Amino acid sequence: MSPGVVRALWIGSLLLASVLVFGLYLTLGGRTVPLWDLASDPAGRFMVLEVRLPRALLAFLTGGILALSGTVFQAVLRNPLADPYVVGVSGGAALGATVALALGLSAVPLALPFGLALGPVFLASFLGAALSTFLLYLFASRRGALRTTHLLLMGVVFNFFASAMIMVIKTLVSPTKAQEILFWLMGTVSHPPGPPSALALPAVLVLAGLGILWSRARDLNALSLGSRFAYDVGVNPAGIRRLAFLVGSALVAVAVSTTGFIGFVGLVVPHALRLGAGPDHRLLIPASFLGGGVFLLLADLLVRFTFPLFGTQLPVGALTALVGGPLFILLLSREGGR
Amino acid sequence: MMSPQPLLLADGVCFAYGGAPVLEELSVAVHRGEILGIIGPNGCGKSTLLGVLSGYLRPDRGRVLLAGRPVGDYRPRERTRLLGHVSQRPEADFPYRVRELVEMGRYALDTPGDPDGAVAEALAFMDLGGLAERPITRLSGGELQRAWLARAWAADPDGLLLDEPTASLDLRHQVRILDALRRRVRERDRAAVVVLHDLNLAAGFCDRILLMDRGRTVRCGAPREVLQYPVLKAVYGTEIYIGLLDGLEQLFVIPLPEEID
Repeated sequence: MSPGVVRALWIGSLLLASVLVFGLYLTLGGRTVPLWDLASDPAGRFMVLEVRLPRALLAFLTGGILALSGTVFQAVLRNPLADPYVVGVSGGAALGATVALALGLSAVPLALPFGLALGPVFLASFLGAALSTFLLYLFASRRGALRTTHLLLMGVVFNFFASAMIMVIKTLVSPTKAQEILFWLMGTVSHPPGPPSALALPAVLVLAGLGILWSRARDLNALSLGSRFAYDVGVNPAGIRRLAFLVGSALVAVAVSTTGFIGFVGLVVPHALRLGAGPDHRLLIPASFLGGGVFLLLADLLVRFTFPLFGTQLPVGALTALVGGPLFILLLSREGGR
Repeated sequence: MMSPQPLLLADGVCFAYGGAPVLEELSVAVHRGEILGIIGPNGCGKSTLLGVLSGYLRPDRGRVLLAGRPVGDYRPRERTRLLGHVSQRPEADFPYRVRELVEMGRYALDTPGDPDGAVAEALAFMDLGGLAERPITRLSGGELQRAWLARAWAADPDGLLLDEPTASLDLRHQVRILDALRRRVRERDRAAVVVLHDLNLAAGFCDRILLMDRGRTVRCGAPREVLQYPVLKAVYGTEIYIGLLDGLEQLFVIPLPEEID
């Protein structure tokens, strides 16, 4: 089979899987709502369109972003074990959100055109993510060239620093606020920012980011074999590195400031896909977006059925870490390496 | 016959890494139809010179002209069609298949796949036909080096810069690759610059040799003008024996154990 056919088969299968999992997600729940009955079932329609659909979209987009940016950062940093949070974006986002929550800003959403609303916590978190990423990028660059190992190390250290700052803030605020902060940090898609329309703008931005990265897939292939290699095959390594880093960080900033910290998706999904579909980014980029979306949607579907007796749900971030951790170790141990 | 305008020209090039000078006032011209060998002790600036010639490193002073134009003025793809480079140490972090890797050499040509058979030819030529579908993360050092060479070979640029292309290769592949390089350079009017540690390969395959020491040119010319006893002894600081192969008119150099005088 030619690579083009293989690529089409993979993407087709993942699209089909996405549709199936979306169908399941919208149908199943505390009350099963068959999708073909929606026209004659107003309560079911409300349940599916106003409650389940926004959450499903949020889960799918977040999973897609995490796996996509994981794939891209792994190519840019030339390390198959890099994850979307390594560049310090998660620490910055968490710190921003913590400050906003500690100041009690959560109650007042800002109204935006087109009926959109923007929570101040989201905004603070996004600013925190953007600012930390920008600063780390600045510190890791020298003479216009990004030193990727520096960036990796600084990101890890900055995330530790941010957790320490969050600890400081948590010990200073009331127990209720500390609880709120803890809940935000855990990572959940159970509170979409509004009706499905509120997700339209982020969805368009995410798809634009996906398109930009996909269109530069060949350049990412070259870059993943080193700057010198990229230069030798006619790719400007500094240019593609900067672009991939900026688009990837912006996407992660959107995800992490909406949903908190959801670990392992950006590590497990690209790794598993690379084992199955190979390292070519012309396939890996769309496949990791769809695969990450399906993975998190399935995880959140499971989460919705956890602990019904207690009337509580596990944050999906906890489930992805519980499943993803062992899965990753298993994948790595089976891999024939150097 | 050499064409009047060199394909590559370095003119008074200086380069320093963090204040430590690596190249000092180095000038060299490379013409179509010739293989220029670069020899010299470890750390004398051979790889840095290739980096500067390829435009990857920007000289602090001096200029590098590719077909008459500053190498930095070319768009990346345009430059790649004229000039190829193969690193000394291939880095294989992701499991691309050998065929995919070789195809990447043709990114700049905008010919997806292998319509004119250049990829298949390069694979066969580097003895990689049987390994075409193997991930590069599972190749031996010599196979990896051949895969990287095949990548540059498939692109077929006008000039090739090769950094110790034979370092990990067995004798058969060393000869085979340098032989083919010489054929390609002569038949297609290409040019090549090859960093070599093996002075015998340099003597056998290069039209001219540039001997470097501490970032400067010691001597540049035909093998017989450069591979001379007092010159090599002074630069390498070791005892050597230089002889002439009967009938082949080719020099050979043997390093001698230090206790023999």
